[in-house]
Amino acid sequence: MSKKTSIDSDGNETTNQIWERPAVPSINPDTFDIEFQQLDADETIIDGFSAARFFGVTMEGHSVLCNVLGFRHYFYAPVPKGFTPDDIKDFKRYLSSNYAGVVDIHVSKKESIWGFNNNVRLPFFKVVVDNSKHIGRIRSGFERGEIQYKGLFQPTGQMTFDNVQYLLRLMVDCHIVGMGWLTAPAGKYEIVPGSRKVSTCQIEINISYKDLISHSTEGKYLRMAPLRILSFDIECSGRKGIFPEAEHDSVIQIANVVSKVGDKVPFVRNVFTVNTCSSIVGSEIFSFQKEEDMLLAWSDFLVKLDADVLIGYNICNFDFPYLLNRASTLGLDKFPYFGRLKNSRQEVKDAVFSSRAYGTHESKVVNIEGRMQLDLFQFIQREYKLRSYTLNAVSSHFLGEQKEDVPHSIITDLQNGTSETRRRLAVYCLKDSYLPLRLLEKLMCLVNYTEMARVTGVPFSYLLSRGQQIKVISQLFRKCLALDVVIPNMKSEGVNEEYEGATVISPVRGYYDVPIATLDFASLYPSIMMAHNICYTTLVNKQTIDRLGLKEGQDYEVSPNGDSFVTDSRRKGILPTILKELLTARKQAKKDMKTETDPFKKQVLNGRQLALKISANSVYGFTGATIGKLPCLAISSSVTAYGRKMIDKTKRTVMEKYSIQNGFPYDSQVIYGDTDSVMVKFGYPDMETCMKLGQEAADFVSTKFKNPIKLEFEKVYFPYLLINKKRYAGLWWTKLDSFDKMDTKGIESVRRDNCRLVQNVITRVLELILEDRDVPAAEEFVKKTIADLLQNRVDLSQLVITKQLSRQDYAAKQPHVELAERMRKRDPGSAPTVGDRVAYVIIKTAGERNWEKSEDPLYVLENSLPIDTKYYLENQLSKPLIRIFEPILGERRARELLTGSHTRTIRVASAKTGGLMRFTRKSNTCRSCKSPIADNEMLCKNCKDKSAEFYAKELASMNALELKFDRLWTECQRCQGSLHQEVLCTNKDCPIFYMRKKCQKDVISQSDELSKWNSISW
Amino acid sequence: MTTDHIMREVSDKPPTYDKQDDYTLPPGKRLYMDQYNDIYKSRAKILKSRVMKMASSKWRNETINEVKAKYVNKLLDVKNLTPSYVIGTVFVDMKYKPNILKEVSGNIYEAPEFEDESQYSELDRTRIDSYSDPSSDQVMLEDDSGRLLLDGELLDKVVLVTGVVVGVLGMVVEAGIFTIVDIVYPEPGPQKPLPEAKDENILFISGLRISPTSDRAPLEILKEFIMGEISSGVDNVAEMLEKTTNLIILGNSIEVVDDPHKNLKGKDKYSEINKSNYDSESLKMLDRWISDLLVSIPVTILPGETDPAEIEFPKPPLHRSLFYHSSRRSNFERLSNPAWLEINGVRILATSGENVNDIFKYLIPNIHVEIGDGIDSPLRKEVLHDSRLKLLESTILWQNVAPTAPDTMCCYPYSGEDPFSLTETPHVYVVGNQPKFETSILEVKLKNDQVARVSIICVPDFSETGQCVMMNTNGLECKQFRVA
Repeated sequence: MSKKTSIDSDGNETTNQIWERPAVPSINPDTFDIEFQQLDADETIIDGFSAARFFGVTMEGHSVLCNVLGFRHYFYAPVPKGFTPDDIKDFKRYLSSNYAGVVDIHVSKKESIWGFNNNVRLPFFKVVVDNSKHIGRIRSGFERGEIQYKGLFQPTGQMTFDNVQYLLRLMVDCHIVGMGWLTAPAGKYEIVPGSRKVSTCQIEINISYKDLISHSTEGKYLRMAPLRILSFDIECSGRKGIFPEAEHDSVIQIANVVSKVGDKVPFVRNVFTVNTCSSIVGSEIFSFQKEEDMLLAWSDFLVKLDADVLIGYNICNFDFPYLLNRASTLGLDKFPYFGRLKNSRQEVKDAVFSSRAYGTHESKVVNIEGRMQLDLFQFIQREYKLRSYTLNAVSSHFLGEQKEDVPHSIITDLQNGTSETRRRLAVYCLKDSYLPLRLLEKLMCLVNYTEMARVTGVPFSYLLSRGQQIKVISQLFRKCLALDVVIPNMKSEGVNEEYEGATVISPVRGYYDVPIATLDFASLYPSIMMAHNICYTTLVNKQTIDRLGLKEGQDYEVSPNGDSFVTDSRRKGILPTILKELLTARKQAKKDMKTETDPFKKQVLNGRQLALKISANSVYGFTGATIGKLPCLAISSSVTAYGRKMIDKTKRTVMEKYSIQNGFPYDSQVIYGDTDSVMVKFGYPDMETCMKLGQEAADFVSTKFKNPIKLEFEKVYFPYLLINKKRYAGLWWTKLDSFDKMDTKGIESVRRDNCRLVQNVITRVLELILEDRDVPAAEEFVKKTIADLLQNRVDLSQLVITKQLSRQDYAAKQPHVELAERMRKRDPGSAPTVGDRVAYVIIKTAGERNWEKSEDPLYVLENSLPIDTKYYLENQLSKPLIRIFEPILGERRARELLTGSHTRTIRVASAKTGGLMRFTRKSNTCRSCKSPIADNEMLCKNCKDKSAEFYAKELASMNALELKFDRLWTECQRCQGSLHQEVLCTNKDCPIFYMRKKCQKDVISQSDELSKWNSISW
Repeated sequence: MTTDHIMREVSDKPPTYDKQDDYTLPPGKRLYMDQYNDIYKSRAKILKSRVMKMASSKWRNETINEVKAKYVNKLLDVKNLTPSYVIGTVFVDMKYKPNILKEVSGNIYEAPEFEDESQYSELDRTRIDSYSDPSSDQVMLEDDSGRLLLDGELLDKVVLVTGVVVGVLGMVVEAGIFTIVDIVYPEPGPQKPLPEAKDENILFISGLRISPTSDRAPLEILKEFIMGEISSGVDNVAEMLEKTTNLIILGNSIEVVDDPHKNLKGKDKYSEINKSNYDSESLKMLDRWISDLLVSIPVTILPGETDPAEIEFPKPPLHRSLFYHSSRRSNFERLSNPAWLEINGVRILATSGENVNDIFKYLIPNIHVEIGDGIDSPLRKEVLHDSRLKLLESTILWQNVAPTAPDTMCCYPYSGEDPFSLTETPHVYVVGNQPKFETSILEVKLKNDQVARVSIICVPDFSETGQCVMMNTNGLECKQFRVA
């Protein structure tokens, strides 16, 4: 029997994935413009002179290295009194003979940015130097007074100006911005022939800095080149109980996913494996017998693929260093050359990154010239405040997915198994390499950082490796260049002078059941600086005021802090000019965004307006950064002083105008205000009036301040729960028909030493209070939760606290450190190692201190150890709950929530180990009245007639457990994507991980209990 | 009332028989130590070779686009654009399957919203907890090596749910997607020869749903009817009743109406409360009702979804002490669900309907899905309008009585066995608690081209329809009676 069937197909056999770049057609440098997007820039020395290398990609997807030649580094120093134009030749000779590298020196008129000097330009030496190796010595020669010429220079040394890195100097002077588009025009560049190429780029050219054209990022130059983004992940085989070390533990798999900017799906997915591996649909497998061959093949793959952006999760601190160290252990000399410069070896360096905004991080840096590195771990740590930064936690937060987590100890077993088990590992590894790519898209990291680089002008790599200041410096230099202003090279003094910060109107705590209008100053600090012309260049001291005969109010203004700044009729400040440009550009970007239809360009514009906003706000911080390039407390403290005054004035104005005295039915009240906003209770119970008055009040108050300071009516909170300074919650309304969202500040504490229970309870309580406006239900919910806690019904995962075990020795004993030590004693194989996160719960023990009471949740489940519910009630739940309920119920009733009748019933798991338990014998008791009975009975004689009832109760709880058991384990099967394979996952961040274990234990003991009932009759 | 009932024959029921204990859970301590993958593995082990037999005999000379189809042992070794046939376990991914992870993450676990169902139409109510969203459902085939996504028009014509083991013929047109053109099921297990049976009847009933508030009249009438105390007006009914020698109750005899506010009352308001199907009043009524009948007719009872029994499939028999009076009589029998019965040599496989009701949820879109376009396949349409015959027939074709356990049906984590896979083809497959009475004869081809005939019976819910079903053990013909 045979029958013909047919399937329609396009006949496209899927071939091997191709990852080489499209071939370059032959280029005639006399007629062909090379236009490319600049991605990464490096400074280097070519023939003894500093030069820059710009790496980029053309719209056609060709990689380019553009060597920019001819630009000389320079700095400024003031010309001393008595120095005549005739001296210049001789002085140059003097300098050249004492210092290497002086190329030229001439005098030009410049003005220092520091202080108002009646717009007079003074003569400055411009000292031009051949390369950046030499510039430092010459500069310090001036600064230390080592340069002496005709006794004209002060022996104590003098200030020099414009200290900036060569690369940034070149970019500033040539108007090149990070991630911008450049054109090497036809006839102006030469192509480097293959033999002399220093890079693996397809096109390598030399061009003079004078000929390179930089395009401003508008119109068609908003676009992105088709950058190749490689996301990868490695797996190492570890020894039991020890975090993998490159000296001992081999790399067994590397999974790669490659996507092009703008494409929806990755065009390369593959896994490099040691030993065989069964095939994976849609992915290629490259198997190698030896680890060495695999590593070399991967390095080769990376070069052939010619990736522009390397991403991954914690690649900077783990994957790259591990690969490099491993390769050096194995003696693979060819491995560490996967950058774009042929002769540059990739090496690991330690770096300490310290920033006021981001805190101090130690990290590793690997030089991979020409390829951008974007470690999603670093990015997310920088940009988002989360409870936990594991890939599990991050992907469940942003992508709403749980991730299967294979424990370290199993990885080696899987590797040593069959090609099927290795396939399993490969699938897992592939998933982990795909997640960073999805996060990148979801969080729009690349787009937003690109725009940040374009707006601030710094190379992309600075955004992750440097702090906030460099962004402001780049903008400042750009502005100063146009205005012939020079910036002094100030030594950072390191004194942490504190100045008074923003004002907080002390909160009138309580629960407000009427609409509360919120009035905000839009971009407060930037507008203050603009309105009052606050800048380095406008700062004027007493002597200058007297010398020039300036008049207060007309020529200058005194800030509430006592510092004087000239008005813009005298001199327009540079900072206000920069700010104005930023904010105007932001307005424009927002406007363009509304009309833009192309979704990608829309994203770009959104990224831009965000970047502009952040930039504008960081200017103020820059002036206040005492350990900075150019700190000026006169500016920063004046700005905050103006801010404080404005908030006070706003409060007064509103309360005066909206009062019974002025014919309103209620006296308005400012119940709270912080930095740039005030919360006003107008007293009207309806939303409509409140919104109307809010708008009116904002407009009215705005008239009292100088342009461009503007008070805006943004939203209404209703109801509003004001707990304390920076702690409040409310529903956020901007339109009449429905609220936008629930807004909370300082409540859902992201503190990681809180357990999930706290967060869940608080969230639900706020929902009940604010959304349902049902306070009794909220109280009831709290009581129920506390009863659940005390009666041992709360799921253990809700009580787990996690902390990372770090390298440092702690001075004080800490619960997680002590626990890790105890676990090591029990089983060195599964104990957490440095870098792991330790999950623990607090249990009841003989000891009193918390570090004695921490215990491994799994151990707790297995041995039925009793949870210290008192700890959870008093140290975890109590404070946030009291905080919320006190303003609503008053202190006494709020306390009652924690001590009422619902706390009377307590059920404790009876431990199987430890203490006296070893000496006890469990005797059978009546299930109803607890009197002792024979072993084969369930109830005593007196209670016998309740048999059916008790049986039914046991049955009901058995059913609840059976259902839960089934749901939990089938869910894990679905999550891991296989019915036939055993679930291995030990993702401790997954909310059902402990539940699964607990349920298994409970269902076993319950089935035991039930079977006793089944064997008797009544 | 003990004297005037009709006198009946006693049917031939062996005291012990093959497969009697197939669905009895392991005695004593249940371990719960194994994961569910063991069931799937065992299932594949039992059924794969039987599917293979069918596949190789049907497709040995099969061609697609003039290329001969080849058997591929591992799913992952299937080559693109190469006609092949493969065997594996089906997994259906559906949007509305219960998802405990979402419930827990959303912090709604153990506090489900009380949904007012009164506003829903009957159709809506059946769709409330269905799993399907036809626009996003995915049917996959899986073996130890991995998964393939299945595609093809054929999928609209056959019933496929998670857990069934089948063979499919087709080829991979797009990477990872296997377009199927034909399907085979496991070779059916052998069927015992049907002896020349006595001319006797078995009465099936399901869904009595006794509750303190339910109307007792229908039950009384039913009892009197069975005992021959009322004549139905049709002449031969009395005669048929006389020949009725067994009453089998297929689950859902009790119904406990949930009081959503119960939890907040009394001094125990903060103590743990699990949903219980126990209600002493209703149970006493049921016991009384059965013990009255026992005087006249042997009664067999299976636990159902709403009965005070374990939720896990297979359900152990109801506790003997719940039937104070009935348990004293020797002609009262409590069975597991599912259960094998043997009466007059007729081999009967019976369930209380949960297995079919769960399969049903794979075919019908969830209430959150706009229906209309989704129900384009005649199969879905048929199932939606209350014909469950296809589903019952499918279970016999699949040779698995509860394939969706454990994926969507609660089930004990068996180790090294899958009791739901059939090793014998029954003469009668009867399922309780279905929307209406239906019956058909399914013919399946056994080894050596023998044909086995299986009588398929849907027993309706009595509380909804007032119907019961009578089957003659000689010829296996069925009739329904509307009693109340």
